[in-house]
Amino acid sequence: MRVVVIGAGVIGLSTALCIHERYHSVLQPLDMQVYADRFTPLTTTDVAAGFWQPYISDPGNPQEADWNKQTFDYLLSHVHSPNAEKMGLALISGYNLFREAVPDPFWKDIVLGFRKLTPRELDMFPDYGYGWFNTSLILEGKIYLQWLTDRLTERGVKFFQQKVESFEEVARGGADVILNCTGVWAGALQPDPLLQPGRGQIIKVDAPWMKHFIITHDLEHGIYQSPYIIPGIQTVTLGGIFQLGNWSELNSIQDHNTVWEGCCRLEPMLKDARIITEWTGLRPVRPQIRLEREQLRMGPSDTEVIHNYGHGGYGLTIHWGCALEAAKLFGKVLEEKKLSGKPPSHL
Amino acid sequence: MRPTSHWKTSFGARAFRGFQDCFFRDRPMDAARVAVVGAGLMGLSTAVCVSRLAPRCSVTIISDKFTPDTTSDVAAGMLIPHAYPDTPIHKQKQWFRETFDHLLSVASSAEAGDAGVHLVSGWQIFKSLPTEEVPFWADVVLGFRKMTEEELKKFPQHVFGQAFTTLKCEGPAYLPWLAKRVKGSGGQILTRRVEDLWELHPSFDIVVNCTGLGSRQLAGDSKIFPVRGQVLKVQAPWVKHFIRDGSGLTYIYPGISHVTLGGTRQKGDWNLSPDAEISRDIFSRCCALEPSLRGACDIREKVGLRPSRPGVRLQKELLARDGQMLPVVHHYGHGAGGFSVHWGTALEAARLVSECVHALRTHTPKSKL
Repeated sequence: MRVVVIGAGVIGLSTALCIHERYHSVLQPLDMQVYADRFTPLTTTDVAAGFWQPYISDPGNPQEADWNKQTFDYLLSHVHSPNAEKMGLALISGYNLFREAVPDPFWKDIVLGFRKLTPRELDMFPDYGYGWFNTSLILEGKIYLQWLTDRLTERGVKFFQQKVESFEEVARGGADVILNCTGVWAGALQPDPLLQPGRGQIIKVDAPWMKHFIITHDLEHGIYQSPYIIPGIQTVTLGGIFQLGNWSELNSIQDHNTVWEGCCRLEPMLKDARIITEWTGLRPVRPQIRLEREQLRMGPSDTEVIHNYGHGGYGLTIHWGCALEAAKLFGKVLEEKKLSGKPPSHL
Repeated sequence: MRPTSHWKTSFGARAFRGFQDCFFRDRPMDAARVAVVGAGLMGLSTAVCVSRLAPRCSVTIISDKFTPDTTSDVAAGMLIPHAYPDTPIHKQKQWFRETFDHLLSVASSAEAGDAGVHLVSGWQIFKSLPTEEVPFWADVVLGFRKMTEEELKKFPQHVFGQAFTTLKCEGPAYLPWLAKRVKGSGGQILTRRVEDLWELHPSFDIVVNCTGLGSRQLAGDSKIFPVRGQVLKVQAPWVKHFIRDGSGLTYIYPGISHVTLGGTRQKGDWNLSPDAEISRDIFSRCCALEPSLRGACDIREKVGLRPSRPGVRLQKELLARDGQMLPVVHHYGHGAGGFSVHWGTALEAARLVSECVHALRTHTPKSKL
């Protein structure tokens, strides 16, 4: 059985690992390949701050709440292991700030120690009148992708740096199942009017005294358009840009200023922080994640495609739950193939 | 007893004689010359407080040791109070609150990076239920609450825990920042080992004794004794929370440039050399609480002798010898809790200095006027 995963961001690699872990003994041999035109450190995942937190509003698809929780629980079970550092995983506590009172988020019982901010804590943030404190997780994209790559390489999964132009091309190459994890560029393989880029720009600084995340919310303007400060393992990510429909991957001076001024206002001591790097990434925004099977008739036989894209700004937050779901769908594909008695196409 | 001429020559008598004459003729009555002995946390913070409270005083810090070689540089600088049996709780709480509020405003300002002060959240955990579930300082720190069952799962050997946000003050950054403020208000810093407080007479009008363990000799105080603490300073930047075992023996304190792992409490031990066996033990105890520490690198051993006393000595003493008077304000003996209360006790020491200045005003030197 040949499985081809298109895309080497967090979705592609975690889906590959999840499926390989569960089915490599069932399928002898399981020939898995990853095709991508971009690998770490050039994927969208590499630009992400690397922090577990879903949007504050309820997801359009209630399954997404479950996938978020599965991801948190999975990561939490690893945070106490000696592997944590190699995965780019760590616990982190911090603040979500609002200008006025808001209802508690659906994830309040998923994270640890969720509570409202006390008046003295709010005094530290004069522009905000309400907020939450909780303990969540850092999962640094770059480190995690390298860890996933190492686990996959150990398992004999092969990587190919190549831009896939069509599903057909992959099917013709002998793929039985295709995992479409192409993120914001999924539309190039199959038009999807629901998928749009949510452009973000971030500045990474050296600010080792920052031990908490601080995420502000401006409910009028929408998610990620208000300053946020998210410490990673070695650097701190400053952000606050979300531009729907903007495909530019170039850093903009105006956005730099917006982020810098907004974050320094929040945390005055940042003005002395040394800037390490600045990046732009295109969040794969969609009203809900496309995680479903599709059978494509290309030539003599059907090719199974499992779509797994459109994770917006919460890919790292939801990735494992989605990988598990994709693995479930993969399992169904296997069952059907067994029942139908059709041999894998590449034999 | 030393000959008078020796005392006078200790500080360059001829230069000072002229200065002294000017002093009594031209200086206003409340501009006393204050010598602060000791340049650790207490010496520096007292000097800053004296400059603020009695701005017309001249302040000179005199010490043989400076940052990064003081006891204060070894301490992690966590604001978690240590209980003093001889000091009333309300006083300890007042000192802690004054220190916390002061440092919180520093941490929220643009100076926070220079001062080495930052917020840190974490957990204090107990292997058996503590007698006091809510300590006296619970409402001074931020967001104090009991840990949830979920949170306690991280520590399978512990049955109870407290979660809160407090401040950390890194000695090697904070001390130089204080020194800058002393100099900024016209204070001076001299390198010299003081063997006897009388050496400071008559060049100085008031002495503030912030010599920590040195007071055993300098002030003849047998109540002060070392409690040896060995720590490891390691690189583990993924650790963002403090973890402290309620016994105070094992702790993990993430700072700006490193994480401090501790520790020991060895009463009466004066040995400043690190012990390799102890280091291994500290590392293993900390890894038991935070397994990811096994990936820590660049491990450095440090030893500090906590200047321990049943209570902080904050009091005036009027030394007298041959008809000469030397007012001394003692400010030492903070043991394990120096950083937690330093600003509160420094303010009080500065108030005592003010009282001495006031007393001097009403006892003008007869011979010179």
